[in-house]
Order: sequence, then C-alpha cells, then structure tokens
Amino acid sequence: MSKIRNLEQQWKTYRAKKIIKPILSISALYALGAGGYYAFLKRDFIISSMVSNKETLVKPTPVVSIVEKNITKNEVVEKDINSSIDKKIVVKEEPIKTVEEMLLKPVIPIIDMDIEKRAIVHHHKAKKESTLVQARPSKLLTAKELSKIKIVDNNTNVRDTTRLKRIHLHTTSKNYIETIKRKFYKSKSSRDALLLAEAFYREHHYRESEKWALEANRLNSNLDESWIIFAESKAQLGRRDEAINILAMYYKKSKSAKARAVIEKIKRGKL
Amino acid sequence: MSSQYETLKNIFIDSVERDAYVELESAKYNYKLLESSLDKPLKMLLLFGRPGTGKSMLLNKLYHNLKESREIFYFEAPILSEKEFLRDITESISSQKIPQNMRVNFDALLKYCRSIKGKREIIFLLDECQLYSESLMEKIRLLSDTRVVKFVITLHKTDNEEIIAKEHFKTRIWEVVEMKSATVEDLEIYIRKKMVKKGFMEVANMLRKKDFKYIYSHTLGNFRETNKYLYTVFDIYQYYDEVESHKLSTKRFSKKILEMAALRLGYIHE
Repeated sequence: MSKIRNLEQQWKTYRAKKIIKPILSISALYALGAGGYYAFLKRDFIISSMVSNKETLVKPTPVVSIVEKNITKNEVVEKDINSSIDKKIVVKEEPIKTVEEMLLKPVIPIIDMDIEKRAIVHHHKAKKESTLVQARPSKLLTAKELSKIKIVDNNTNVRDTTRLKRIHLHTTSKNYIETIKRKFYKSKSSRDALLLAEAFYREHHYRESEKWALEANRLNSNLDESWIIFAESKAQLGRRDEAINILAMYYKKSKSAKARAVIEKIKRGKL
Repeated sequence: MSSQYETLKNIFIDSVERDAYVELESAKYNYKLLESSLDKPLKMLLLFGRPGTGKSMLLNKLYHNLKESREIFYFEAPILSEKEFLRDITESISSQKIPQNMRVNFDALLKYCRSIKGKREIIFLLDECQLYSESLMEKIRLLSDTRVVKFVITLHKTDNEEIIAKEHFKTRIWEVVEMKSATVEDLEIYIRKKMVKKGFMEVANMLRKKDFKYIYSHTLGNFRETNKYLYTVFDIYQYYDEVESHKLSTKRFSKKILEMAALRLGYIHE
C-alpha cells in the first residue's frame, strides 16, 4: 500500500518535471531568440555608429580661436546699451561743449509745467500704490500666527486690522535698471529713458545718467527733468561750468524754477 | 470479493502455455512456414529473433499441434549438461528409462539412429540454443546428419550468431524463420485478444490508440516486456480499485497508472 503511495508521489514529481521542462525550454528558446535579436540590433547599431563616427571624422570641424583685442573703456560702455542708441548718444554728446552749440541742438521747446506736474504727481502716486502691499492672514503662516486671528463666529474669520502689516517692496537697482532698459527697448519712450537717467544718477553712474537724460530729451524735449538730470550729471562729473551754461540756456527759454534752483545749487557747490 | 484487476493482471503473467498463445498474422505466417518445413527432408530448422518475439510460444504451439500426429519432443528449458542432454535424447528416441548410474555412449546413439533410418522420423524442438556449448551443438549436428533426427532450434538474434555463421551449420540449416518484433498494431491485437479471451471486453475497450502507442514506446514490441508491463499496470489498478476506487475512471484507461507502472519498471525516471 505504501509502495503505491510512494509510487504516486514519484509520479507527481515526474509530472511536475514534465510540465516544467517544456516551459523552461520554451523560455530558454525565447530568451535565446530575444538575445539574438538584441545582439543583431546592437550589431546594426554598432555598425551604424561606426559609420556615423566615420562621417563625423570626415566633416571639417570649425576652428574657433579667441583673439586678444584692446578695448577702451568707452567701447565697453557703448556696447552695454543698444548700439544704435549709443551711436546717437555719442554723436550728440560731442557737440555739447559750448553754450552757442547747445543753442543749435537739441532744440528745446516750451514745456507746459501744469501737465508736467500732474504727470509727475500721478507717477509718484502710482509708484507708491504699486510698492505698498497689505499683508493678509494666510495659510502659509505658521500655526502660531494663524492662532492669533480673531474668530467672531464659527463660520467666518474677521481680519484683525490692528495687526495689518505693511511690507515695503524694494527692487535692486540693477534689476530695476535692467527692467527699465528692456521696457525702453520695447517702447522707445522718453519717460523710460528719463527713468533710466534718474536710476543711473542715484547709483552715481553719472556718465550713464548723462547719456540717458540726453536720449530722453531727444525723444521728448519738453521734459524738464531731462535737462536738470543732464546738467546735474555734468556737474557731478566735474564739469560744473558746462552744467551751469546748459541750465542757464534752458532757463532763458523755459523760466523753469527747478532749473534755476539747480543752477544755484551747483554754484554753491552743493552738488 | 477480489478485484477484477487481480484476474486481469494474471493474464499477463509470462508463460508459454498453449492457451496463452495469441495468434497474430505474422505469427500465423511463421507457424505455417515452420510446419511445412518439417515435412521437407531438412536436417535442421532455425527459428531466430530478438528476445520476446514469440519464438518459444511458436515452438510450444508447434509441439502441441503435432504431438499427436508426429514423433515430436520439446525441450523447453535448455539442458546445459552434455551427459543429461544425451540421456534425454536417448530416452526420447528409445522410450526407455536410462538408470542414473549409466551414461549414454554417443557413438552407440549414432549407430542406433542409423539403424532406424527410413523407419522413423523424430523431431526435437530445442529452445534457447544460444545457451548450449559448442561441443553440444556439434553433437546435435552429427545427430541431424543421420537424417533420423530433425532439430528445430531457436536462437536469440543477437547471441551466438557466430555459431550460425559456422560453415557446417550453414550447410545443415535449410530453413531459417526469422521472428520480427511486433508492431504497435500487433501489440494492440495481442493485448486486446488476451483480454477479450478472458472476458474483459470492457477494459479492453477503455484502452485507446495512444495508450497502445505509449505501451509500445516502452516495450518496443517485445511480448515478454509487454506482459510484464501490463501485469504491473493491473497490479496498480487493483490497488486503486480496492483502496481508492474514486480515483479510477470507468470510461478511460488511466494514463497516470500507465506512467506509474513505467516508473516502477524503470522505463521512465523522476
């Protein structure tokens, strides 16, 4: 009896092996086939890569070399700004040497001060509004901060106005100048050129502020500020006489109080 | 109550019994050839083939069929001792019992055979002659030369072929009957006939073509091996019938049992 049971066990093992063997051999064949196919593909790939390598070897490679060149400081500064503008600025800068020449060009028209003031006030207001942001209770705040928010009823949160914070946002001068520059290249606006002149002046880049003031003036000769910054930049660069002459000429035409005040400032040596 | 499979397995116990003989077409042809050859003035007849091809069965059938009509003697088991062999031959021819303390003089035996020439024709059927020694085979040759004694010898095809090749045997053997191994069809008929003969028609019908092919793949047409295999199969069948009958199908022959039997006999391995 146990002999038959043992025999049955042997038979089960035999059957299991008989089933597994063909599966294994099929798998092995499949793996062999897949491997062969992969090798075949790889061989093609190797051949193709060899061919492509040959092709690339045949192709003449461009020779790149750095040639050392002496560049003057002026040339570097000129390349920072759009070349077309630079050229114009450079061309225009040279003749501003004497009062007589200034009378010829640029042409200085009469400026409507009321319009100018309104524009300046509006600009300042907008600037102030745009830079002031009210802080609101947010989920991004810490749990401690959120717990301080007054809860009137279960459903609605009421803002605690006593805890309102004012954040002053400042941009770095570099970013600001770059932004205005990009804006100017798009708009070609005299106001943007003037903003650039002011920015450079604040940063004590007087040569730049002088150029951009002249550009603003070229685009819109009615801008009072363009004359003043131009003259102030000249004064800061040590050319005080030039600055006074320019502003004096401008004052004759415009009777600008601001221009007069700046003349007085330069004369007193406060600039 | 004993299982039917017990009776069934006993059918396949290997024996050369007359009723165990199953007449196949190929065997029928060989039998006729052998019978007709005995009527010819031949000194010796050789019946040879691979083991288990039915040589002994054919010899046995010949003996039983002719023993009433002719002077025929069948030496089923080979007599290896020369002394014993000559004693048995002498006793068969003379119909006299030779005392144990006496031995047969071969020359005297030859003389006696010559003396009865033309009066009697005695046939000796010798099975498994490959086991006989060369000197004994030489004596058989000399006896057959008297033309009184005729020998039908069986040999395994693979064994002692050098004896047959010897010139003196070649000249004396006038008829050679080769027994071929059974085909799948022969095997099927053999198994079916064996079963039906004993009334197991139902079991015989359960066996399908592929089962016979499977049996054949292990036994290669050897009747002795087939008997052994089927005996084992029905032995296992008997166990299941008696102990776990729910595992047996009444419609189909169990492939599982066929494989188990093959495992037991070492035809297949784990």
